[in-house]
Amino acid sequence: MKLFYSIISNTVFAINLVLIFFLLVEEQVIVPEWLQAVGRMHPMLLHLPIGLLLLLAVLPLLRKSIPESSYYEIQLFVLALGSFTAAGAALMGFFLARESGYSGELVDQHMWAGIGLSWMTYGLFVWLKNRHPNNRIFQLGLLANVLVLILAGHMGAGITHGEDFVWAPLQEDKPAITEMTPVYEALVIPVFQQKCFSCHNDQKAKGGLIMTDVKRFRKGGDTGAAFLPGDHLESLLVQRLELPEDHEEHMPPEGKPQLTAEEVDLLKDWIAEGADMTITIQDLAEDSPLKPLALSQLQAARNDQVVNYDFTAASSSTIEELNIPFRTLNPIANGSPALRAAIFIRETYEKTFLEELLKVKDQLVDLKLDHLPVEDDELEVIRQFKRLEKLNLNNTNLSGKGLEVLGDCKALRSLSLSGLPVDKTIAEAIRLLPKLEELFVWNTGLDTTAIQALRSEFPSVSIQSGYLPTETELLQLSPPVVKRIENRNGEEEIELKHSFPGVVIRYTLDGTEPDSTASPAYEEAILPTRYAVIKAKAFRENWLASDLSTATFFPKSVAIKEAKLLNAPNQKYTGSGAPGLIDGKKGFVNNFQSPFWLGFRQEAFSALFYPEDPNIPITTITLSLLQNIGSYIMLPMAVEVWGGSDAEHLQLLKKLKPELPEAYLPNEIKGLDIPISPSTFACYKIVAHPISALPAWHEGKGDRAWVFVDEVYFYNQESSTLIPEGALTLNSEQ
Amino acid sequence: MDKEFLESRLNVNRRQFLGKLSLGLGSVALGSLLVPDLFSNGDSLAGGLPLGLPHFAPKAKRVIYLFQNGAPSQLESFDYKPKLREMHGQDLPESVRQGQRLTGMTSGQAKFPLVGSKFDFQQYGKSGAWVSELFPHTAKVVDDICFIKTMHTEAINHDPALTFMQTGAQQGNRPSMGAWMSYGLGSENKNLPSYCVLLSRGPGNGQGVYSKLWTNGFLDSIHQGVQFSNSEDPVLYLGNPEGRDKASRRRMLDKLSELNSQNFENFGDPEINTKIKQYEMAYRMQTAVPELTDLSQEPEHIVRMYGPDCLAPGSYAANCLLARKLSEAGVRFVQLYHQGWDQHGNLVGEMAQQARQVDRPTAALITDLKQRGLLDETLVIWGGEFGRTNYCQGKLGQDNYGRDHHPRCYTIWMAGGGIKPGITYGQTDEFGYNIVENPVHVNDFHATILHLMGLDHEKLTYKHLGRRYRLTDVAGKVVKGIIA
Repeated sequence: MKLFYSIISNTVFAINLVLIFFLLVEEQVIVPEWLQAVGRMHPMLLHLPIGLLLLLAVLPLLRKSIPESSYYEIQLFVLALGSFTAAGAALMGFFLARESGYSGELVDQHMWAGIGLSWMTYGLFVWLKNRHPNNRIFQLGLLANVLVLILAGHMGAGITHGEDFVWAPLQEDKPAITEMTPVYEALVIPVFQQKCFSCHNDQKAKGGLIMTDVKRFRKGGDTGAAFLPGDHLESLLVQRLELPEDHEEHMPPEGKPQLTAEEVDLLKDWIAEGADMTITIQDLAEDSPLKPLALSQLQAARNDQVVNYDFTAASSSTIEELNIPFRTLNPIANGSPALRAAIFIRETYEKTFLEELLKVKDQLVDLKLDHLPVEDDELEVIRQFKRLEKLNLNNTNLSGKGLEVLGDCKALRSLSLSGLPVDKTIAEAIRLLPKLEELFVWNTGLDTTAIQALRSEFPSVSIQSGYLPTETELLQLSPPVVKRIENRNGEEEIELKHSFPGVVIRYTLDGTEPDSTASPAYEEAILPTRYAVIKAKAFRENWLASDLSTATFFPKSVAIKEAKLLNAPNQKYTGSGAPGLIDGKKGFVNNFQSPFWLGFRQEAFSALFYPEDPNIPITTITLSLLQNIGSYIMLPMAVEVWGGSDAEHLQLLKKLKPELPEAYLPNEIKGLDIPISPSTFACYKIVAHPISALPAWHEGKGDRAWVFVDEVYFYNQESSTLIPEGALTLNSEQ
Repeated sequence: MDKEFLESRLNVNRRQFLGKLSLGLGSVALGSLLVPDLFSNGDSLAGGLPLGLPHFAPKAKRVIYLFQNGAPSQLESFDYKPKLREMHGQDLPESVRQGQRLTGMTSGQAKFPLVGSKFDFQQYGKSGAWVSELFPHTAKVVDDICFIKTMHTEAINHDPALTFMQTGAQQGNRPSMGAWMSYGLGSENKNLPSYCVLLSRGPGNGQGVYSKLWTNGFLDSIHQGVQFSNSEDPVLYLGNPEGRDKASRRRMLDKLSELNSQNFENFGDPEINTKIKQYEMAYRMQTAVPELTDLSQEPEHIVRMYGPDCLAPGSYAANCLLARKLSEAGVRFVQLYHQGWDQHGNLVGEMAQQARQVDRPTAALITDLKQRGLLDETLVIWGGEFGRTNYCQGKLGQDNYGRDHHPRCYTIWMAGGGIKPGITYGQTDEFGYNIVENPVHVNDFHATILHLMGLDHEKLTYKHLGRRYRLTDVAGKVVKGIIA
């Protein structure tokens, strides 16, 4: 071991002497290439002395728990290795510093500190090796050694990563970009900063090029000027950027973050435009290729500003307390002190909802109040939100007068007044708002000329007037909606609706087309007392009448005690048998297989019906039938109604032949009314004969047709009572 | 016995207890330095970021997605390809197709005759965007629109493509975009759902939409899309029953919540409180929804602008108008689906009918948002699930033709909400078959939308089945070129 320590001691002493020598003749030292490789190992090796010397500093913690002699051995061993690696690292560091690109104060300081450290460590090693006492002086020496170590390490890191590497995340952002920022600063420097500055700064000027300083950047590097203003093709900077990435002279060197195509284009444009370092965004010519980029940068800066507010945040308890179901209050983004508030639902609005927001008046930048019954006096509250940037007052109850008080909200950028009766006096408010960028005045009291006047007075404000109803194009209304509703007595009523205010709905119940003047206008729900087809249309001034809405209604039948089928339906379409004819359940129009339809073909439909109370006079019997001509399902050829005291004693009351269609008709459920003179029989028989031979125009010409029936209704009302009273009086508006 | 067990479990000596306590507290304190919100709200962490707030300042606050279901042809709408007219009827060169896959519907075809658009194109606006004669109203607002000509997807059939577009995966088990948005940003108006779905159907050949497209997937069910009815009552069962007025409803709810609160005190199940809250929200919706469907605050010319169809509940136009009202009322994500764009045949007739229904209300929506100052905070998206082939499916007729599915490129457009207005992004080849420049994958599309909403698509995550999921899963890049 003795030999080991003596070799170490001598080697380190030798290296340290060499270092001193190099320091003296620094400028003349020329490092051969093979030594350059050794030098480049400096950033790796330097971590060894750091670790070892720090270990030495905490070693005294062991002192009490191991024998004094062992402690001494350990300490000496660590110190030996520490001094050896420190000296080695310092030597390598010196070689590295001699390479081109390392110059500047920081490099010099680091060199001195490194060599100093090497000597100090050596001194401590010798002290201990020669069995000098491990006393206060030695311990102070150890402490000082650690301090020098930290200093040298910190300076070295500064050279490698840039001086502000550690603290950068904590440092405040640079001032935001404005119209007055030079283009060079706004667009070019950010690229350099990310991709170039780390090697071309005043500490580490690779190739002799320093880009961080405007003057020295202009001067260029070892191989000449970096750029020729106006000639990007001849500019070294551009040439180096455009070399293939694996080319030795390509910049940035292989493995380092490369410039994007857009960034290269930007630099080319900037040089082609004269490489001006002072021209501001504002002064940039309109047709400059840099202009759009600069403007978008400006926009981005404005957007960033949104999160970079410097005022104090409201407490989270205040924010939480102000959040109620009808009012939302939130930071505009995670971590931002700026707040955005919106209040919802007209009906539940209370003035306190707005007033309570004054608790955050110093943080509120965005307020949405549209469609609320906000009154003029509440402008006194709104004006206190001095930091407001965006305010939406669309469709509130404001009169449009007195909006000048908004002049207190100097930060306003966007103001929405659509749907308010504002007039020309709005100009006074705009004059007070220097930062206003957007104004929304659609559907206000301002006409085209007034808006034109505003636009010429405030060219910097984008004034949106939206869609103006200048088109004279006639448009067709949508058809009214027909709804079935049940009234309190359990009867089905018909409601006609149209969502467009000002529309008049006219209807008929007799199958004719409603007329714009003659047909009754709908006022209240219609209560049909027998089968009815309702046809309705919507009318409105300056609009074309709507298409037809049609719906069929089968009101409740007089109660029938029992029904009996005399002929069985076809076994494929048996429906729910005889009881299904009086259960009120309708079949589906597009599905004759639905279990509500009874189908008859070979035999006629024939059934008996027994009213519960035969004393109620029956005036109309209505068969509910399916028409699906393509599937051979048609109205019957003939129907008969018989009446009597029982099935054995019936007399023919009516025979009726429905008109045959002359072409294919759309599928529908049709009611077939059979009016009879008022009768009070205990038993009725109804027979419906399918068409025995389909007409010539039908594809199944000559075949038998089907009759499909789902319900039979018995009514005791005349058709004249169908239309509600008063509905027939003509509406004078149209 | 139980008691003993409990006691012995708690039987830890003082030394052990204090030792563990100090270690535990120390490590929690250390951990909390790195997670500032650790103590604020336990359930509010998504990828280390609090939920309910944008990660950074958003450009858009809300989204209206006008989904054109069935895949409208880009070649008859916005991607102008005069070359196809020149080469009308000639076979698609193999050098263009390069053996790329086809659907089973045309893979058996012996020939792939190119078809030029039957409809003429013209340039519009300051931006000079090409728009076909089928979209005259959209043509008027092109300066507010950013056309993306180079969308491309991985799926070649409707259902997987649609599911991919909506949920970021072709299998229907992931949360949809609107659900992610609701999860990440919460709701703005607590009286309405934060994700609403509106359906409509055009006359063209249609493809189905299913509730899996607006599913919450593995997210909490409150993030599910709420499908509105296409009757004149968009939300069913909101009305009070016959003979009940608001006051009696209120009294009933107060009494019920009293009972529920007692129940909560007895059992402590938090679901009971959730239930009370849901009743309250439904009660507030009784007021909020009628205000939405009320047209009396709208001037007549709003109806003229959207076209009279907007008065017919369930039509595309009515849904556009309702979408604006929902969005204006703070609904985070309004998803429309308009069916009927699957023109394998009879393209000329069907496409014209489809476009007629869609064009006017769509343009009106843009104008309407703009005139209210809402366009800059509302992102509007128009487009389908993939594109259509440049060659004819079936027989190339004199006046008619059809186009098959084409996932390699298709056109969608976006407007408002932080999108660069009046630009066209990306370029397809002269055959409209392959992408030449700036492709936008569905994952990129999702990443961009989340970015516009102030969300980092890599940080909005949810842990499920042992790993973290994102809308973009493991891909996606924000398309910077379309962001203002």
